[in-house]
Amino acid sequence: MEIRIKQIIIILITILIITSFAWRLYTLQIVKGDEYLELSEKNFLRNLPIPAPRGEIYSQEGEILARDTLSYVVSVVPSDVVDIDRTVIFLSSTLEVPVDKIMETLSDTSTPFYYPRPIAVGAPIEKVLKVKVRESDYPGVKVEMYPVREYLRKSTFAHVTGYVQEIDLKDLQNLSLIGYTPGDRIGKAGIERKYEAYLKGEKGERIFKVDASGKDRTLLNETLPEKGNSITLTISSFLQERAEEVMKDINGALVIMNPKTGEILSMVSNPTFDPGYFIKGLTPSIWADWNKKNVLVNRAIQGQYPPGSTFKPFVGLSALESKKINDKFVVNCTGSIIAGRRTFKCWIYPGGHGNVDMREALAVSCNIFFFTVAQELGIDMLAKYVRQYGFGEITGVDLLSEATGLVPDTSWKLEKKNEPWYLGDTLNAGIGQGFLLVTPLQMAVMYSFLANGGQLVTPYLVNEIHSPKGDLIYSASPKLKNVMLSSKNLNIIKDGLRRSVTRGGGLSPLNELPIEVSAKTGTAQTHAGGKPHLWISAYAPSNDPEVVIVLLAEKSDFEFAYYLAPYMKKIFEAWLEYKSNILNH
Amino acid sequence: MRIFIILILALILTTIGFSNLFSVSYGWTSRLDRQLISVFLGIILLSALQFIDFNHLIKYAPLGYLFGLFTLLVIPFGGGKEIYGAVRWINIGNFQFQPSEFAKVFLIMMLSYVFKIEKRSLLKFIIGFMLFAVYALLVYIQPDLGTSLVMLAIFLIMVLISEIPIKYIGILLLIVTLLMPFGWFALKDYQQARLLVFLNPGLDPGGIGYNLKQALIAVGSGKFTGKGFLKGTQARLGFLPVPQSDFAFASILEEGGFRLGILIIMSIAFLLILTISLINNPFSLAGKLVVAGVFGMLAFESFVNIAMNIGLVPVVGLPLPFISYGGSAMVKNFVSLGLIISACKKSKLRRLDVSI
Repeated sequence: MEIRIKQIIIILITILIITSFAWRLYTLQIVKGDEYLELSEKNFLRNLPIPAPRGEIYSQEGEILARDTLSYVVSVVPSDVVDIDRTVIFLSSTLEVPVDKIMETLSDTSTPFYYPRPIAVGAPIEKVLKVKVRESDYPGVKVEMYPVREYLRKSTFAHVTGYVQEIDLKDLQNLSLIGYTPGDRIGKAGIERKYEAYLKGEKGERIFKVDASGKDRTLLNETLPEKGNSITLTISSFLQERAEEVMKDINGALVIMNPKTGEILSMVSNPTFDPGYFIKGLTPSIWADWNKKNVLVNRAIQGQYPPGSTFKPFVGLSALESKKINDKFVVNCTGSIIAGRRTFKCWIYPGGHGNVDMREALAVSCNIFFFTVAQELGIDMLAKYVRQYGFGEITGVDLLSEATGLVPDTSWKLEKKNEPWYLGDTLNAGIGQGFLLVTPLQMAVMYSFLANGGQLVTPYLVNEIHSPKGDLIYSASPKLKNVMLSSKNLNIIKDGLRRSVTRGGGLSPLNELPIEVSAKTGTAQTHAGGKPHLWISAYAPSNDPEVVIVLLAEKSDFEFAYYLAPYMKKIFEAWLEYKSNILNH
Repeated sequence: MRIFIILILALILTTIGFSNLFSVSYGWTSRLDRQLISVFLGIILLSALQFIDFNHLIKYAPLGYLFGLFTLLVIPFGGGKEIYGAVRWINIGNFQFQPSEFAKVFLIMMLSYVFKIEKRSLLKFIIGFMLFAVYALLVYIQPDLGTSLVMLAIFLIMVLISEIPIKYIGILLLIVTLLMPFGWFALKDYQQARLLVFLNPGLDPGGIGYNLKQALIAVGSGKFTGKGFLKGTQARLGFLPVPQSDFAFASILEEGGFRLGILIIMSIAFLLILTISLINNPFSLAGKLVVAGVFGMLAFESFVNIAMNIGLVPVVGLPLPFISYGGSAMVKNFVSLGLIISACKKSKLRRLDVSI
């Protein structure tokens, strides 16, 4: 072959190779350039979040209930550790944290290995100092100040404020899109959860440049965290404290509410817990005890109980409103009633009340009267009316996981129980027994409905939200829904409720108060021979009510609800004191 | 004129490589001193070669070959210095040099000499192959697969340009193909691994594929304009391995981007095309063969190194001519250009000499 031809072939091959290189460079640098740029940045940029201080939670009076304090946190950066065994043993012996727990934290793969992982939060200063002085001997070990939540009133406000915890995997999956990263704190219950978005603040960030070994770090940029907003509750420290004192021996719930606005002045759920344990760590024995007693359940909104006789005013109102009966309607109570082919006896008052009308029936809580009325109404009509008054639906209070309660009717029973509705079920419903379920907060809303003249009120716990600078960014306004109602009928019911206090029965302690109180007791049977749930629902002053108080004793040792009247009296006294305090200021 | 342009292009590439060395060394270090000394030494030798008659010079090729053989033999007998797990360097006083770099030049000279004096084609081919094989084997056991492949490239292109029938190459290739499965077992473990990773980059992203991945990130992240001089993160923060030599191209493209990349590959293309175009200048066959050999060496080294930097061939430890850091390679590059110039110059003076 001629040498010139060989030469040309070689030149052509050279051009071909160089062209393919140019094409490859075009693909890598122009077409995929951004992709590779991102990869190169991931190589050398390390982002470390700086936790933001959460906003405070204040009571109505401005007392701090929950705040962040700076606390020492001993943490370990796994990628910096040189001798893992030595480091773990040192930390375990100094901080008294089990080796297994430290290893588990260090080997967790959900966070990058250059993230500091907390080993001990809020450990005693003398232990922290022992670690601090040896920091340089154990690369990767760090002692830093971190914001840590503090609940100053321990168990008193536990169910209202709720608590924060380190975010778990489930929340992380849902919330990583809006910026949550492993190790963040998040509200798990109560106001902390519901108002998480307001309280959490904005995390800061440190951006480091690192080399391939990851050891040499240069700070490139730092964004400081922003503190969260602070929340002022409608809950009064004074009332909450007094209510807790009254309720100390009673398992159950207490709600004090303004019926005109829906402001919740006090919300107690017993048994309660100290949310501080979630911060400093729960021991297995405490956790087991809490589980046994169901302490984390807020009984005021999550506990569902048959309302018992406290339901009667609504049965009465429904009957009057439906015009099935009028205020002249009288039942001759003989202590029993024949309905269908069965005889139903009143086990409370078997001797009979004689002739009773609506007002008297409410005052003496006559079962026979309400059996009769319920029979007249029928369950579906009754259900229709009481649902209008708010039964069977959440109140819309600003807390999560509220229970709906239950108003049964014929279709419900057929669907859920696969059984027809019996007349006996109707009679039971007439006296608030059977399938009916109500939460204490629902009960407060219902009695507010009676108290404020027929308006459904949405209860609330948060009065104001302020930015860290002090600007008002949210202020609650009452939400009321008018229900079409005859005020004459309503007044008949209210007369009955007033008379149940004045007639001199079990509620007479309430009659000793310097204001006029209207109230109704309820003793709800749980099961044959079981301890009853006891209710007192009350409002005062009777002519223009300013407060509604609902007290529930869960599976009480008392036999009848009126045994709770002295407790109720103490709460009214506390409220009167609270009111005079406000007037004096 | 062409020679002048070749020298200019070589100096441009040298300057770019030097700037990269400055960047990845974080300023002026002794490495830059050494590199600069090598460049000057190379240019001095290049100039000196102009004063020696090429036909005279080629007579010393056997002596050179033997000297090269001696330096390569020093290494297996324990005289070498280990760097990066391979023994490729020899210390003489304060100086280190890499015998395999100069061996390429000695091989080019020796093959030219043999192909010139031996008339019988088959014998030419067999002797040439033996001369190549001895060198290549000694380099391969260092281990330095890359350099033995360069020697193969030199041998093949010189056979192609010489008057040896091309069918011999065909027969050789056939034998090599048949021996390929055995060749796989002759490869060192790390070489096998590199080949596998190249064929399947997802095989081991954190391990041996790391170099390839980081090189691609370096090149790609440079985009059109590059991250700017002294601003390459891949190379300067240590993610890109050996950014001063084997991966200098990736390092430069990270800071200089597509623009500079095109400039470099165009410069190399022109340098190579101009070199091969000189093949008609020397009147003697020996001169033509030297030009072909130098072309083969520079082309193979450039192509394989760039292709490796942009993920087109497996990672093979080969420097990029004029750009990569390495004194021996730098001296060798300029000396080989000196040989081309020498070969071309002589032919002009003896244009009428038809006796070869």
